[in-house]
Amino acid sequence: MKFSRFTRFSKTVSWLWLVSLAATVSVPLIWVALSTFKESNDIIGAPFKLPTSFNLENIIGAWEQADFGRLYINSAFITLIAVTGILIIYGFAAYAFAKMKFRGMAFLFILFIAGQLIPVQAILIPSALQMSAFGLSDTLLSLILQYLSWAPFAILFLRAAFLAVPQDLEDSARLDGANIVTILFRIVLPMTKSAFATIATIYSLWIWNDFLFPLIYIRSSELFTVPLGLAQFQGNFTTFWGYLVGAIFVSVGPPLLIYVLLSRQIQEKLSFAGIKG
Amino acid sequence: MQTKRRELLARAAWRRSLTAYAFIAPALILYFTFQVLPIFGAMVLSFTDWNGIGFNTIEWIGFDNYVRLMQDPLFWSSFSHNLIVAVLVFVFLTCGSFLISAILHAGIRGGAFFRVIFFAPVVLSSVAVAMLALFFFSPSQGLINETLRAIGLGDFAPAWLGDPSLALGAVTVTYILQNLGFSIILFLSGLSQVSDEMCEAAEVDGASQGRILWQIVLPSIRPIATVVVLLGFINSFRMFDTVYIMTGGGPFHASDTLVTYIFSVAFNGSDVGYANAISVMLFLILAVIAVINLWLGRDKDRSKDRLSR
Repeated sequence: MKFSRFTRFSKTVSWLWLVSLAATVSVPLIWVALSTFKESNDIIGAPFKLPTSFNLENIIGAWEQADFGRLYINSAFITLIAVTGILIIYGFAAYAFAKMKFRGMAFLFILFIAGQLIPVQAILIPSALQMSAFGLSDTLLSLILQYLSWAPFAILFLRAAFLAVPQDLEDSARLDGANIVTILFRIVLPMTKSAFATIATIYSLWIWNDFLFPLIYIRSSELFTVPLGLAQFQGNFTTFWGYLVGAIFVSVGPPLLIYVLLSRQIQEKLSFAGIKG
Repeated sequence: MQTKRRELLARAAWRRSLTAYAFIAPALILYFTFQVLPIFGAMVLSFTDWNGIGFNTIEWIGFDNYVRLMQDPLFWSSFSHNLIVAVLVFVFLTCGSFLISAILHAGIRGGAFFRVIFFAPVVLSSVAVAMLALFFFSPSQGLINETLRAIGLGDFAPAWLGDPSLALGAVTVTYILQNLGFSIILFLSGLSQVSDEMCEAAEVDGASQGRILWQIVLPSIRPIATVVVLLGFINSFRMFDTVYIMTGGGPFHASDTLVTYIFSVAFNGSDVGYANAISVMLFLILAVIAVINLWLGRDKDRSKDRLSR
């Protein structure tokens, strides 16, 4: 520690502050978890009453109304394909930028870096137009292609990881007659595994939780992703309190469970991104 | 002999280049097609009056959309909302998360538990968090107002999301609480690299906590602090989901941000040309922020060099 050595007074104050903040963050989540099992009328009528029975109506109702099974399959499918593609495509590109010399490298690299400035929110309309010009409007493929093109962060981050691999190691392997494939998969990849895991974690979160592009690209409800399907409940807000709580529970529960199980690893991955990014 | 060798070398270099191009080609094609082209598309469309339906009525109108934008009070109010959010985010999210991470770094009872809790909302979708916030801020039946009524303060219970002066604040609070954890994690990873010996030595020499903070801790975490500050600003200007779900930009555009305004102009107003002009402005604003940040970063590096010399 050493920095910010506490006096007893400031320690108590800090602790109280963190406790109240933690309460503010966790109370809504606990409230949803409890309310899901209550009678629909009691959720708003008696918001602080504890559930008296194990009532699954809200979860089942919400699940059926929005077809959450389908939403989960869609989201998982998109995320899996896009993240796998990102790791492969930008892994190769980042390696070229880190370890190879070629004409036009500086220009191409700047092109990718400058792309960080493009807010995806600014390209919404032309990109929707583009997808329909390609005949892809209202398809999962349009979403996958959009996510696959989220290049700058992956390239920057993976390039930094490749730069940290000692050149000597690769050179001596090459002298021993190893070809590029062997070098990549036997030497470079094992040494940069955690960087790839970090990119996979961050992009999975971004893609799974993205709302804007599904909102713009997708029309048919059988292609909805989890956030888009969840947002449909907002219009019915006042009539289906129970379903609304059930829908939030169903869409928040699984990611929260994964997080609680893997929280150490996830936090590590993301703080790693902070150091390198 | 000499020429042959040179030829061989050139051919080897060319082959290496070819491999490199092959490695980069898929990335470049995807990125150029779906990120770079659309921004040019936005620029082109911003000079037209396109309605988003058919191309037979489309007309070039030069800078008309930009003139209109300068005179559009809703553009300026959305922009100012983004600025307000950016300031609130800087004060409460960026500075707040720094303080929290300093406390956690120094060690406090339940530190690991706090980390898990603060970070949990980061992994959730902003749509889910915003919908959850609706239950709390809803004017008639929201939990906050229920609580106020229960303890006899019912007269003070405001309309929150229905009140033009409070809606943006409620949205921002939700946004900050959701994203606090990420900045905390980033600051913590920065603080773990601060040299403890240096802080201890300074303490022995009688330096106050404030001086240690300013002269040892902040300079050593400057790279990461820059990232957190920049991310805070950029994300404040990209805000969409939370606003869209909680208020839809209302009441009466009181919580519209640039992106929700672009969305409503394009998809509810069918004024696609104009929406693209606002998109181009958003692009320019973020470019300016990034350039300022780069410039500030570089300037400080140079002055540090001068000091060390």
